[in-house]
Amino acid sequence: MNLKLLKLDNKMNQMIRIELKRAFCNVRFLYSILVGLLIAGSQIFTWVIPAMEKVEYYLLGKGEYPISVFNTWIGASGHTYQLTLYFIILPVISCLPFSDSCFIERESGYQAHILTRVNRNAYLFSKSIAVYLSGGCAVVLPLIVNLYVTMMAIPSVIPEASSRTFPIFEHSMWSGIFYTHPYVYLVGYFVIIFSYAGLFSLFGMISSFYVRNRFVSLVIPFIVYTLVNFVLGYTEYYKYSPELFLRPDQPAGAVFSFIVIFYILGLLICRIFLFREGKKYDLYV
Amino acid sequence: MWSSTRRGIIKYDLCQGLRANMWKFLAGTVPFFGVVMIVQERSVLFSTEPSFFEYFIYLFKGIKNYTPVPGQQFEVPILWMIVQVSMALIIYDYPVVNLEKYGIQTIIRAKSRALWWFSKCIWAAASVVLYYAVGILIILGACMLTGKISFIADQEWNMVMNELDVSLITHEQLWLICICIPLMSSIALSLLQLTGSFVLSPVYSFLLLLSYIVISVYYNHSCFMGANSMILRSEFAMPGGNTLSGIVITNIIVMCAAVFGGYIYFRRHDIY
Amino acid sequence: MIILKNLNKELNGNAVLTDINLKLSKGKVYGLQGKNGSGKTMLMRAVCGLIKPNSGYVEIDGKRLGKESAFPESVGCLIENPAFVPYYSGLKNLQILADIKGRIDRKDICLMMERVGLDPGEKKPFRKYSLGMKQRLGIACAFMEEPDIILLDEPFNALDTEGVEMLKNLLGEAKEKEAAIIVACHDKEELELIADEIFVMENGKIMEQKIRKEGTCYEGIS
Repeated sequence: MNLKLLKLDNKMNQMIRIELKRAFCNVRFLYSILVGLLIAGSQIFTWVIPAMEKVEYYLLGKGEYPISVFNTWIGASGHTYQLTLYFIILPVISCLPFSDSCFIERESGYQAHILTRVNRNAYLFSKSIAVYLSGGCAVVLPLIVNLYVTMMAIPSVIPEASSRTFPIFEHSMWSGIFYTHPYVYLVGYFVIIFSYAGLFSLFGMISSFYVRNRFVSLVIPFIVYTLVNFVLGYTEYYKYSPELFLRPDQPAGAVFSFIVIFYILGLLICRIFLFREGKKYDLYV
Repeated sequence: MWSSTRRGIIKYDLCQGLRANMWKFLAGTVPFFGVVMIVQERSVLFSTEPSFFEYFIYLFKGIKNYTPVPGQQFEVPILWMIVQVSMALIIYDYPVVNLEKYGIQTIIRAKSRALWWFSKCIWAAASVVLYYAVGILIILGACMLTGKISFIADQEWNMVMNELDVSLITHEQLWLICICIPLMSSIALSLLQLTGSFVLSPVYSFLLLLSYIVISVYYNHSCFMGANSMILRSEFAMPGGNTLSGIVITNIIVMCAAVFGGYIYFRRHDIY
Repeated sequence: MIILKNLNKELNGNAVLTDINLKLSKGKVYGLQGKNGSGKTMLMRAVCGLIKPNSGYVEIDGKRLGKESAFPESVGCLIENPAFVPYYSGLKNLQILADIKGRIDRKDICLMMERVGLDPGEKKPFRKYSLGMKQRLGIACAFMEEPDIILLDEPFNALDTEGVEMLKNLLGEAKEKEAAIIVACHDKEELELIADEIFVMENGKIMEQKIRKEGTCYEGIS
């Protein structure tokens, strides 16, 4: 019995390794990072580089609060189109790398080869991990690159609330952390963005169980995301729109408890659908 | 006048293409129902019910030219954006999926790549027209329910809610800016997306189109025609705004470039 | 008459067709034999006009593909797996395609479906067809409009004994109606039962041409 469990564990580990390799060593993962880098990179050229010229101006003590990484990088540039665009298309970028792999494998018949070697639950579990991680990385990595490049160009001047040049206000989530330990704030926000991006890519994977066209599965999370933003945008609950609370500049002020609850709910929904899919006996091609 | 093959392939695309995307048309009615609800909710501030044009101006008003200022959020008008996204989703993947799956049988029967491609362009344009027709019907339905089927724009309503002085706009110009120009702009963008979906792939073409639209909202420049349908950027809403003739010419140029560019690419495209 | 002259095609840096020279006349069945990846399907795609040769040309009844016409005037094909609209029945799928040219009507389609062993009244959508049924539908699609050129890529796949006999009868009838038929098959024995000439392909080239002498005896000429 122990040997059987051990074998299962080994198979599961092996499956996870295989799926992770397929998800990350994949030209589509590269393309999705490239899309993100194009947007984040353009912000460097249109905003960060011009801001570099103003750094010396402030060093000469001309008044006003100096320019800082924390109000220059893409995540704080709510006045630029790049931040808005990035968070509009975030679900699509997260689904691009690997969300439709289940669909492709089912359609091509490849799934039959896998399921004769490992059980369906192990397959779905390893697939979910790969989809989640690749989706999260595809969204977060360009933001990290943008932050890093901005750090190389602009000094990390600690934010000052009274200067009114920073996007976080008193009522915003983690405002205390932002004005004392801004990098901790940014890391925390990257974790939130990564988690949600992974969740969206899982939704994409789940939708691929029910659609007949893989391109549709790539945009279903985007459709839901945009609709939620649209509906909530015209109500008093607009701050609960993911398109707003995922932005590090918090244009509407985020609520941490809601972010966690919504995320856990999302994971539960994914779990339910994966459980249902795992219960299926027939491989219907 | 036209050969039976030409009629056949166009009929095939119009019937199958529209049928295959029926669920997308239904889902795409959200912005029209949305504008009806929003305008109805806001109309309690006024003494009269909104007319037909109030809905369309609210839907397509967009925003005035944006000047980036740190601290001031750049926002894409959500209602206007949803219309563009809905159109983009309708066009999205049908031609590529059609070609990949059963397109070989249709294209060898069409006997002409040009015919197949132009038939897809006609399908794209027809889809846009149908989408707008559905929207018009929904809004007319809303007007009927409120008991005010009027095609005269209310000045007070538009000044307060849409920041537009309709007294300066003739009735014909109102039809143009509310229906014809958005329709034409949508057709131009759809044809661009159609071409992009073959050259790149449906997903990347979709992303490119969304990016182009957002950048067009940000920069009001003739190179970025994505925001041509915004009423508040027209000459009627702001001095130096986009002229009607300018918008029409830009749209025609983009349509022609997309159709012929796509044809030139598709002519040499290997189908395998 | 189908003429392929100095046909060369490269895909992603790989030569898939190299120096193909063929003259195919009507009223004959030509076989393409070779291992997987030898270029049989690519050759068929070239004859169909689906791929553009890098050099050389395909000429059908005096018209060059890609210049005077994009596709052959009258062609029926079954290339790779039969693909149809998954949520339509077999009859509906064939009707939609037949409506494009408008040469045949519903009655003709029903007759063809019965010939290939399918029930025209079957309401089942295509996606629920078995592999054999899908293949039969693909064959019906290739033959239904009585085209002048018929291209069949591995048509015997998934067919039972009756299906094979059915296909052979269809090929015989099409041959009598002066259609030029090209059949690709890796099974030498099946090919020798139906083909008048066989071209053996390897790595995109035609290595050998065999003409039927009598029965299943072939004489190699190159």
